Parts: sequence; structure tokens; C-alpha cells
Amino acid sequence: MIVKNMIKAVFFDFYYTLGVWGQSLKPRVQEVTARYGVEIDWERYAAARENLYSDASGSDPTTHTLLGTMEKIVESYYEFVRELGVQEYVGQITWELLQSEHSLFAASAATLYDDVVPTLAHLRDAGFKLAIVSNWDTPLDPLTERLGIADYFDAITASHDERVKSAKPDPHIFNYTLAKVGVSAEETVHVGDTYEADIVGARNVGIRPILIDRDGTQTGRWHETIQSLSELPELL
Amino acid sequence: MIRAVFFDFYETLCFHRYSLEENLERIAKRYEVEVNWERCKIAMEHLLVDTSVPDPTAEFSLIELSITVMKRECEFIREVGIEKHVEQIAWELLQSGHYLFAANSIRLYDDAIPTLQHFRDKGFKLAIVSNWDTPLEPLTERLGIADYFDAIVASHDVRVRSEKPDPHIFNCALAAVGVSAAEVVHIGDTYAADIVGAEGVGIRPILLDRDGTQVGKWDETIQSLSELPGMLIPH
Repeated sequence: MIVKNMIKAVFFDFYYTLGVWGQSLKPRVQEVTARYGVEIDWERYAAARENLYSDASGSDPTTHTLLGTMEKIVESYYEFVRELGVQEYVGQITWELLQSEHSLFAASAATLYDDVVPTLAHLRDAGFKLAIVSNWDTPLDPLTERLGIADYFDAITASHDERVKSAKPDPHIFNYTLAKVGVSAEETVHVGDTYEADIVGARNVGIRPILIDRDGTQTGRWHETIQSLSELPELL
Repeated sequence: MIRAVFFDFYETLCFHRYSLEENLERIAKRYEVEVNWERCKIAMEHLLVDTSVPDPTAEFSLIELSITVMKRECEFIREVGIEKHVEQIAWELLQSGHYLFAANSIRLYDDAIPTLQHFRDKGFKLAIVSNWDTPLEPLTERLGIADYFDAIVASHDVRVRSEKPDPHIFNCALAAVGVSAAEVVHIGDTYAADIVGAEGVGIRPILLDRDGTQVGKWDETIQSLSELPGMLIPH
């Protein structure tokens, strides 16, 4: 008997699937500014944060350069700190925020979900090839190394990496990863939390998609849905 | 009566696990590009000179410095004969080695946490006094040791602007911890900065000579931080 759909590889989205910022921006702003003894105008915070995130997101992976993005990001965070009414130590406070917040710097706030390492270890021990397919502004090797998971993966693919230049749901980023891992679409499942990018994107190239809905807000959206990565092994 | 222990940071509590060459080799392999190793040594020397921040009292902005360092790192990558993916390789190299970015390759010595834990449990106040180009809170947080310290004092922090052996940086740490010089020992690996500097303000200095290359340089010398508890009687 021919076993249909013999799965050989598992692809993962990164943010909200494997990793998340363990602390949000506001407590980090509070912590850092308290260390400097400077006052923040909290009434301006919501507007400043909105400006920051609209300035700091959405670059096009086909035209983006890393240095260009860095210059833009640094300026956006600098502006954010000034908008909060900080007048002293602006450069240093901005740098400290970037260290904790931004993946161009150290992204100290990045943490893994508890189910990640056990799931990756289990799947690797079971002989699956593993990859990350992520819409991300920088290569993800440094961050995944820092989080201690880089060695689990046969490929780590980021949209804004100039070797990739394609963001989910575009087929190229998936095809690029299939080629790197050396498997076909039928042999692969892709797990992610974003319907449009992960489910639609994977399905379009013939990869079986699984939706991860950690906080239970996407019920009924897709027939193969899990709430934790620990449910994954039995689905394969 | 000793109530507080000050530590130098680099090569006292932590070190780089990989050299710049080792990081470059690993990253270049990922990008399938060749490095001209003959040019690397001299290019590295120029890079270090161009991106150093010699004087903590000079006006400089950390975020402007980040951009400058990134641009200079790109030049370095070109100098070693890499033509493709220059910005990304430069940035990955900074992520692995540079304190302005993530400094991934920095590791604590095995004796650091047990020693810090011991002194904290015994009720000593602890501080870092380091000649370092940025504030050290982000890096010490990432290494998981920030909470051991009552003060973390870095020379190029705009709140400090003084580097060892200058007295001011030690006085900043004394004031932040709330102890007098007579109540403090300072441990470091650099004679001119740590021993001369601490002695200059009346702090008892202990030289850490991990690789045994400074024998006879100072009377109180240890080879590992684990020798330290035996030298300090709890108050």
C-alpha cells in the first residue's frame, strides 16, 4: 500500500507561533526611564506608540535594505522617546529601548513559548526536517541562536533576507524553503497563527497548513487548528 | 569590615566565546561567500581603531554610533573580499560580537554566578565598575545577572563619563551602593585600571589573573572568582 501524504518536514511561522515578546513596550519604557529618573508624559504615550509602530513597520521585502531599515528604525524610536517628553539622556534611553525591543539590536524581550523546545526536540528525534518561514525584517539566525533553537532547523527563512525577498502569502518564500530543506510541498506541513499569511500562503503552494490559535480567538476559521504546539506530533 | 564587592566586567565576569574571525567564518559559510583571510588581520585592526570610543567625556550619541559602526562594518566586509550580501553579513557579525547590538558570543565564566550568589546570600552589596562603551544593564539583563547588583556603572554611560583608573567612576559606584571605600573590595583583571584605580580611592584591590600571566604583579591575586569567598569574612 502506498502511504499518501507521508510527511517529512514541518515548517513553522516565528512570531506568535514559536516566539513572542515576553514584555510589552510600556513596562519596558517604564523600567528604562525609571532607571534614568526621567519623567514620562503618559498622556502622549498612546499616540506616540501608534506613530512608532506605523513608522517602524511595513517595508517592502523586495526593495528593503538592512542599513536603510536600521536608519529608519533608529529615527522612529528616537522620535518616540522625544514625543514622550524625555529631554535628558535621549540617545541612551533610545538605545536601551532598541536593545530590549528590536530585532535589529538585541531583542532582549524575545522569549519562546513553553511548548516550543519540547515540540522541536520531539519532531527532530522522530526524524522530521524542520524550518522557519517567517515574515521578518532581518535574517533570523542571530535571534534563533540567542534563543537556543537555531540548531533544530534545516532552514531558517525570513522574508526580508535579501536571499529571499518575498513575504507570505507569496509562494516564493515557501518554495525557497522547500528547496533548501529538500522536500516537496506534499511532504510538508506549515504551522502558523495568521490565516492570510500562513494558511492561504501554504495552501497555495500545496503545503498542508495547520492554524495555531493560542488564545482561542480564531475558532472555526480552519479545519486543522491547534491551541498548542504540543498537539502537533499526533497530527503527523 | 567589608560590606561590598565591586567587579570589573570584561574578562572578570564574562568573555567572548568566539573571536571576530570565528564569527566571520561561521557567517560567511551560511552565505556561501569566500573570505580573504590574508586581508582580514589588517582590516580588523583598522576596524577596531575606527570604531573605538576613546574618551568617555566626549559628546557622542549611542544611536548615531550604531549607524556609524554598521556602515564601517560594511566597509570591513568589502575589505575582506566579500561582495554579496554585504549589509546582512556585516549586521550578522555585529549581532554576534558587538556590544552595541546583541553581542551573542559573550558568555559568563562558570565561576561568576556561584560567586555572585554566595556574596548576595551573605549580605554583601555588589556592583559592576566597568570601562564599557554603553550602559551595561541591557547586556547584564540578557546574561541573567543584572539582579545581583546594587549598582552597574559603565564608563561611557552619560551619567558617569569617567573611566578607570579615574577616581570618579569608583566614587559614582560607592555613592550608588551607599558604602565607603574602606568597606569595599574591587576585583579586576587589568592592573592599571583596576588595581591602581581602586587603590587610588582607598578601595582594597584584588587582581584576577585567570590565565596566570600576571604573577608577582600584585600581592592579593586570585586565579578564579571561587577563591574570593575565602578572602572575605562576612560581616
